[in-house]
Amino acid sequence: MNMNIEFFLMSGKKREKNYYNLEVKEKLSSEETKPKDFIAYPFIEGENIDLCPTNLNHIKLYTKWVNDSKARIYARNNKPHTVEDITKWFEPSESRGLSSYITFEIWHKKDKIPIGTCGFGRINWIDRNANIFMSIGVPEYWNKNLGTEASRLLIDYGFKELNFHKIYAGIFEPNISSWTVAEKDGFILEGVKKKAIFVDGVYVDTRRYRMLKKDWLKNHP
Amino acid sequence: MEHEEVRTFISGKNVDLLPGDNLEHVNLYAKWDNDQETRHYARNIFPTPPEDYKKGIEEEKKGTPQEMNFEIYHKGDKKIIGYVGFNHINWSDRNANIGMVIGEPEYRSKDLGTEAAALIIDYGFNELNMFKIGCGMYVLNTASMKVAEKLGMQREIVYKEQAWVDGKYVDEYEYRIFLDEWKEKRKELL
Repeated sequence: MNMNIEFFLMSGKKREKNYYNLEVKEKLSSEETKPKDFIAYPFIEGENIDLCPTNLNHIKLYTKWVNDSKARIYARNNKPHTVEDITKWFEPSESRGLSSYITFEIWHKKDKIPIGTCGFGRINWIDRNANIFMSIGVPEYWNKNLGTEASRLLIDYGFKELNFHKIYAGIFEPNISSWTVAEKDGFILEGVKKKAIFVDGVYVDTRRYRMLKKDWLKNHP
Repeated sequence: MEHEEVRTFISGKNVDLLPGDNLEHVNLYAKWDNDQETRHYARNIFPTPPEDYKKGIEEEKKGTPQEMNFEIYHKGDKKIIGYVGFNHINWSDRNANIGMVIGEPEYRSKDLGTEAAALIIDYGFNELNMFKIGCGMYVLNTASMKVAEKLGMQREIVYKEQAWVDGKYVDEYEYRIFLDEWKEKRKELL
């Protein structure tokens, strides 16, 4: 999947404020992106959210998130994506090999709507490591610790079910709230890639975080 | 092989870089990549038949390439000794990673890899307008590490226990050089 696999939990507050307006709310409730009957098939159950398999009926919603001018900056989607592009990402693959990514839809239990996607990308089944990614597509759900909850569910799944040795994340420097959350979650700063990506007109650093299973076990005996 | 046949794309002192992905040489690529010693350092853990290269080469390619391969041609011996290329070129961030194999063992440890890498780095910065070029290797691959250091690259990240090699988890290193650093270094190397 070509979808960006940078890890981000929530956006900076500055952006959120500008974004929170009526126009967006209208768009959100339009038929296009909010079918009347969302159905969830929870795969991993959390307190406020569930992680569900991605759903081809929600493709328009995913497409909206991927193209969203505010959300996509943090997700590093710098090219437009059509509904057909996104459909291809989520259609069952012909290949019989084990997939190198696993994607979930983040389902808000109380409001009964999908609010984002998360999962593992670049899964290396031999070295047993993967890149964790997260994207809350609906700004109204930013800064509510839902990303933190999703990441904890994912980490548990990665270590307890997929038997990973290491989970890592790349977060770019200006996305302070995301790497603060990662550090709070026990991720260790592994290194900094200098001027690795070009965002908003400047080259910025990428912080690389890691969690080894043995370090995770110390807090989850 | 006559020099005229070899379609030199970039010319160096001891080696030239020729267009890679040559359909007639898929057996050579397969020989190198499946070789036990070579693949140990290159971390090719799955067998690759020549047909796989053929398939990759014949695939229709559209748009600006995201990877690029060259054959390394030894000028004195008129022989193709390995390949060097850019993997994962990112055109908006303007960076790429180098991958290289000197497939013929008798040409190793002769600074030919350093020369080939210097040529492709220069090409990346001067012709492809790159901003940052990197390469990675796991901790036991000291030969590649030496090449990176000779090229003036700096170690940027140590990926802890990233790779499973010879029955244990080992660290991986990532090296990089920026355009402004290369402007100085190239005077020594080219």
